[in-house]
Amino acid sequence: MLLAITALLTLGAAQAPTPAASATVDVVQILRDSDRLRGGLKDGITWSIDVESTEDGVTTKASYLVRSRGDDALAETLAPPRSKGEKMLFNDRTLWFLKPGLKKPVSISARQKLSGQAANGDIASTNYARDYDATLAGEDPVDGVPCWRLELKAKAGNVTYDRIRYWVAKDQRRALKAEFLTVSGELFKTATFAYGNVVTLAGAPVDFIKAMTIKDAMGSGASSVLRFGSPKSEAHAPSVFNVNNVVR
Amino acid sequence: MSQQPFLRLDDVHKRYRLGETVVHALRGVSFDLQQGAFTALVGPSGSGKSTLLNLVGCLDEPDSGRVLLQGNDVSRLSDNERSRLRNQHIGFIFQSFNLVPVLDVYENVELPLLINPKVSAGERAERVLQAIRDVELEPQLRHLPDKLSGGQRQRVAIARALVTHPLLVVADEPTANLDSGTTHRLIDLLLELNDKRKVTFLFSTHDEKLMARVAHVLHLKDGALPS
Amino acid sequence: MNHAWQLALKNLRRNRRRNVATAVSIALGFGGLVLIGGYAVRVERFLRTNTVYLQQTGHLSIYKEGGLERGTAQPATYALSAEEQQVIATVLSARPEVEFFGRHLVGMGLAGNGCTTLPFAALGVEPGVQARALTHPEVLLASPELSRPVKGELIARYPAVEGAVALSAGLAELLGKTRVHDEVPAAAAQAEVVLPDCTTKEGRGALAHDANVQLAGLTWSGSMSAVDTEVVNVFHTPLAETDDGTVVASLQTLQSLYDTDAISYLSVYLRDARDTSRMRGIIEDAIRAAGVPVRAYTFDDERVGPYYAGTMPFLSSLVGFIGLLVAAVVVLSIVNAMTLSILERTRELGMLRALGFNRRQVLGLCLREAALLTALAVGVGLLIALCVAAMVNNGNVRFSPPGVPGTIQFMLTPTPALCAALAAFIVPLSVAAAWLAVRRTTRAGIVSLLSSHSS
Repeated sequence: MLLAITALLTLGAAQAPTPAASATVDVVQILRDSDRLRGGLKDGITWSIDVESTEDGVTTKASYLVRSRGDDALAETLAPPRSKGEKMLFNDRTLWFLKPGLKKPVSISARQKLSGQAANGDIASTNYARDYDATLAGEDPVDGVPCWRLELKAKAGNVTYDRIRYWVAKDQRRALKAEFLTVSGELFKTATFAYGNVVTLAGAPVDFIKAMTIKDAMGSGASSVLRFGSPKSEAHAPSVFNVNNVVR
Repeated sequence: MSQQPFLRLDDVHKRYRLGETVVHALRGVSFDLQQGAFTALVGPSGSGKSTLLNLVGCLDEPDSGRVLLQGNDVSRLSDNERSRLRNQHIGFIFQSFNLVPVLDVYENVELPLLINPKVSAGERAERVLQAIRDVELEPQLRHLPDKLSGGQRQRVAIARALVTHPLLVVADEPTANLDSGTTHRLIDLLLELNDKRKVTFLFSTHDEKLMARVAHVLHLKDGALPS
Repeated sequence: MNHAWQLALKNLRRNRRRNVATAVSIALGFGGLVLIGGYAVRVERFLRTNTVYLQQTGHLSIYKEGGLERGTAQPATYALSAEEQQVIATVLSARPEVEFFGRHLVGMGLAGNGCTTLPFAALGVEPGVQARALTHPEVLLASPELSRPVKGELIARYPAVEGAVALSAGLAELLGKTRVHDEVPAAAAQAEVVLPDCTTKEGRGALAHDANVQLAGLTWSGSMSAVDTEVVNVFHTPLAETDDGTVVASLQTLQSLYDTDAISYLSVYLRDARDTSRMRGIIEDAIRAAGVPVRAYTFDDERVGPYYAGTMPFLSSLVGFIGLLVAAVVVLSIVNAMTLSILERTRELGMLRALGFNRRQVLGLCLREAALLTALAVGVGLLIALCVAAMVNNGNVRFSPPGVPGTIQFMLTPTPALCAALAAFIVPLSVAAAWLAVRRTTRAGIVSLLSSHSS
């Protein structure tokens, strides 16, 4: 389930893409554009996310209604029934967990790990354009699609993955694949991204992320699939993401 | 019983090592003692008197020759058997009394009976009191040895030697540490006991006055009995 | 042979000063052994009750096979299900050696007060079992300090309080929970909970207005979960390093947090700790025979009782070393005393041999003397030790053992068994030392004994 949290965190990051494309490859802009297509919309977005996690041969499913804007996101659990009504509020890198009947929300900073799987959080919580310095390492097709291969290096030590290999399609700048490496350079997890949702941005339809698959590369066989449904560009008031308002 | 003497020494030799030199203490000593004999063993210092008494008293074994007590070769006995023999049949009187300083007169006399399983507690008390009466020490019954005079101490030793009703009493210079008056009273006592109990006495002495009162004297010289 | 003892006793009267000196050194040595042994007994009992009753390891911990090693990482796989618990309970109830047993769930998570959250490790207990363990006579005897919470009462005393939990003192302080349930006015407890403004001092101060703490964690299926809890007591953990992050909650509360009806392990409390090793195999086999693949671990197994298992060898070797030194002193004094005593009495021993005492009887006399002297000294030493122990214990000297929060009373508790064991060690030891000193003399020939000029 932290997988889900992490996925939600991805939503928090992006800046609006700058239309002006420079003649040379602007890697920062590539990151921003790819972050945006993964859900980071400036004014906000509302959509559903279904998470299917498999670990030790056990598959669990959960569904969320997610609203996000900038660094904030609010996810409300729709399923499973026992968790219905639980809310997770992301304020930048802090997560608030709220549950009907719980007297106070529980705050969980991104640095606090509830378990090993929490590291998945960082996969998505990372606002790549903000957290990483990128260099263009080459061009490398993914499933026949021409891509830039970027080497991302953490700007600060507060992210789980020191390095990420990141493949972004030249066409529309969709991120297609990512490999997460530990500080010692070992491959830890891989993520692949699928597109196919359509969101109308500034009056034009944009190919938007539809699914994200995260696989453990260390041999545990654990994997998670996040499916994103009915994305809708929506301007959310900042108060939506204030914990005091969410509590009431 | 009448053919064999009570005690027979048969060509007894004894050497012992004194530092680097070997001392030939006894050189073929042979003699017989009849039961009830009262015998003095005399001779100069170093003539082997103590060695001879030790062999007779079964405190030591000869290098060669035999010591026969009532016809039995005592050197064939085990250490434990000799201990029992000493306990039940031989009494010792030492020159320096050798009383146990922490035991009173009664307890010192009682000592040899304590390890004799044949004597019951009642008989033991009777015998101890009798022995003390015999040496006329009843008033000092509960005195510790250091409260007694030399003669009294030696009388305790005599009582201790006789309380077991021994066949043989061996005494090594019993009067050497006593003044002459005490010595004579002690000899009177020994003679009286010898007469009354028919106990065989063998004792060594330097004392000329003592020799005069003894019927039977063995003269030992350089480890032999010149005949 | 009573006379031999009487004679030995009378012999002790001679050279009284030396015998008194010897007796004093043996008495002090024995007293020292009793005291250090009493200390060891005390520390062992403290460590044992801490591990067995306070940490609720039980004399035996029963885990599913592999659960001890992998249960934390894969709790769902290595937990004991409700049916398995039933089977185990049936087996345990049938054993007369088992006094009682409890079910436990362990887990981790974050404890929040509305402002911050802190990581915790939680132990789920059955409140009634916990109360029984913590108020066990062994605990009251060995560490009464740790048997009672610092504040508040045991969870079992609050059946009406939903989600009653106990926080370790360090965690309670870090969460600003300076008051427990009993100290919070009922009105405040009933009042609508408002989210404190954690950026202000007043807001942080308001954290103490209620005893409410949220525990969050991941369920065994991986979902976020949280429960409301009410802090009913604050306690010191037996180990300092866990004092900043330990939560003890009812099994029910933790099962609800982790969304399971399984447990991590059972703690089994035996009537007699000495049965532990024997019962481990018996109980494990019985449960396995009943169809549940379990492993039972003893409390001194370093995997379940690392503090006990880690400290005891150190304590034992320390006490053993000092014990050896003291024993050496005793042996030397006896050898010395007996050697001198025999030297002085060589001629007397010869006289005894002449009177018909055999070697064994003479040796027996000497050994009886040593035994009597030692026995007398042991009696005096015991008296000294018991007086010192009583003084120390009444003085309520307190100390802070390494790794244990707070202080415990420095106590010396020499048990009758310990004293008997030490006496059974010292008396034969000194007899053996005496034998060493006199055996050569008693083996010597009677003539050489008698001709000795020493006395």
